[in-house]
Amino acid sequence: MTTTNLNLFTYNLASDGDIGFDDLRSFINGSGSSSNMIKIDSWGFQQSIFLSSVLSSFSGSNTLISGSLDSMDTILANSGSQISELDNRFAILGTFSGSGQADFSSISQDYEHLLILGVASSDHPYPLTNIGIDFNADTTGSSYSTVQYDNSGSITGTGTVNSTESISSSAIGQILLGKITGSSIDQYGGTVMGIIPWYSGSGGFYKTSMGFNAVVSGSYEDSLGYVRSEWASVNLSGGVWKNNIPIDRIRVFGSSGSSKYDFLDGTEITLYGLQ
Amino acid sequence: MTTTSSFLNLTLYNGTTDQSGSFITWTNDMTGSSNSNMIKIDNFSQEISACAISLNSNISGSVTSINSNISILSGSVTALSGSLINTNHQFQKLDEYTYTSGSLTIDIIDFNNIPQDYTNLLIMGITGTGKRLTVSNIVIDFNGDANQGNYSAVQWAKNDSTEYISERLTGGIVVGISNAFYPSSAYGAPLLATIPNYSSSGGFFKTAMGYLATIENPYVTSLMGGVWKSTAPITRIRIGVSFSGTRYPFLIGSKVSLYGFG
Repeated sequence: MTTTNLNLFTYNLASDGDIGFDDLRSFINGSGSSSNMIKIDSWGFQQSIFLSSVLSSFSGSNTLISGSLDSMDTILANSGSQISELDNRFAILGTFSGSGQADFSSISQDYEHLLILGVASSDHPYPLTNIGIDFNADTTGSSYSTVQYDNSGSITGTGTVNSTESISSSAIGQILLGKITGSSIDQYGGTVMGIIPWYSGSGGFYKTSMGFNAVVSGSYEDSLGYVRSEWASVNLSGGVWKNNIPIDRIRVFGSSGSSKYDFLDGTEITLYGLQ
Repeated sequence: MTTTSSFLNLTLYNGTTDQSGSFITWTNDMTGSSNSNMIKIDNFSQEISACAISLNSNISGSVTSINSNISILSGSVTALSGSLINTNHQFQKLDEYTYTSGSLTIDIIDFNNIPQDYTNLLIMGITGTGKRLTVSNIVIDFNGDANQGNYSAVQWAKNDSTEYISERLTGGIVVGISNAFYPSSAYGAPLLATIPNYSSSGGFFKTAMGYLATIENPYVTSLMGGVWKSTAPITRIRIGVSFSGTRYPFLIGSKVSLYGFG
C-alpha cells in the first residue's frame, strides 16, 4: 500500500504478509527512486522550489509596488508643493453678506495687493450714495484724503441722462470707492470694485485705494406719492490714508459726507488677496 | 518505542530503552499503514502543500488587489497633477518690481521673457516719480518697440481745474499716472491696468487700458488706454514714467506686479 500524497510505501502485516529486512530497508530508505526517503526528499526539494518561487514572485511584486508608491510619493510631494504655492497665490481673505457694515479684521499679511469685489446698497435714503472704507479702525478725518469724480443724474427714459459732472476731494475719515444704491428703492444694488495696492508693506508710500463703477438705481415712489426716475452714475474714486504701516483691518460701509451707513440685506462683499 | 518527536509526533527509537521492541513493531511504527511515521509524514506533506498553495494564492490575490488599487491611485495622482498644472495656469504673478532703496536712477521697469501660458495680464501696484510738482504718465510699450508710429493712445483726465481728453503720442500706451513728489514723497498713486489676450498670435491689435483716482496736486482722475498696432504675442513689457517725452525715475516705495490670468 502507498500513502495518498507522497506515495510512500507502508506495510500492513495482514495484507502484505511477511517482508524481508532487505526489502523493507530498500522501500524505506533505499537509494532508488521508489524509496520513501527519496520521495520525501524530492517532495522537500519541490516545496523549497515552490516556496522560493512564491517568495521571488512576491519580492518582484513588492519591488514594483514600492517603485509605484515611490513614484506616486514624488508626484504627491510635488503636488503638495504646488498646492501650497497655489494656496498662497490668491485667496479669499474675507466675505461679508447681509446687512450692517463689513469689518474685515486680522487680515492675513501673506499677500501684497487686495481686491474688493461685490454688490451693495446702503440704508441712506437716496437713490444713490457713496461707499467708503477705512483702515486699521482709524476714523480721524484728517488721516485721509479722498477724491471722487462723479457724473450722475436722473435717467429720462429716452436715452439720455440729466447728468451733472463733479470732482472734489475731502478729508472725511475714509476713502471713497464709488457709488452704490441707497434705500429709496429695493432690489437695486451697485457694483463694488476696488483695489488696495501693497497693503501689507511697511514703509514706502502712504497706503492708497481706488475704485470705479457705473451704477443705476431703480425708480421709486416718494413719500408724497410721486414716482421718481431712475438714477445713474459713472464714478472714479480713490484716496490716501496718511500712514504707511501694514493694513490689518478694513471696514466697508455706505457713506454720505462723513456719515456712515449700514448696508442693506442682499449686500455681498468679498476681499481677495493677491500675492 | 515510547517517545515521539515534538512537531510531527513521529515515533522514535531509543537504543537503550527500546531494546525489547520487536522488528515487526518497529516496522509498523516506521511504515505501517496506520499511524506510522510514514503516514504522519505523508499527512504533514499534504498540510504543507495545501498551506503553501493557500499562501501563494493569498499573496497572489493580495498583490493583484494591491496592483489594482495602485493603478487606480496612480490614475488619481496623475489626474491631480494634471489638474494642478491647469490650475497653475489660471492665475499667477509673473514678475514684480519693488524699489525699496537706492538712488533715483531707475527709469524703466522691464518685464522680459513673459510666459505665454496665460490669456490676460493685469498690472497692479503703487508708484511715485522723481518728476517734481507735475503728474507724469505711466507708459508701457511691448516687445521693445518704442516706435511712436506703432501706437495710438488716448487719455481722459479731470482734476480740480481741468478736464481733457487727448491723444497721447508717447511711443507706448498710457495706462496710469504716477504721483510726483506732491505733497511729499510719501504719496504714491495706485496703478491698475489690463492687457487682454496678450499671448495670442493674430486677431486684433494688442490693447491696454488703465484707470486712476488719486490724491495729487491736489487730485486727479483718469481713464486711459490704447493700441499697439501689432498682433504678435507680447513677451516683454517696459513700464516707464514719461513727461513731455522725457523719462523719469520711480521713487523708493514703488511696487508693480504683473499677473497672468488663464
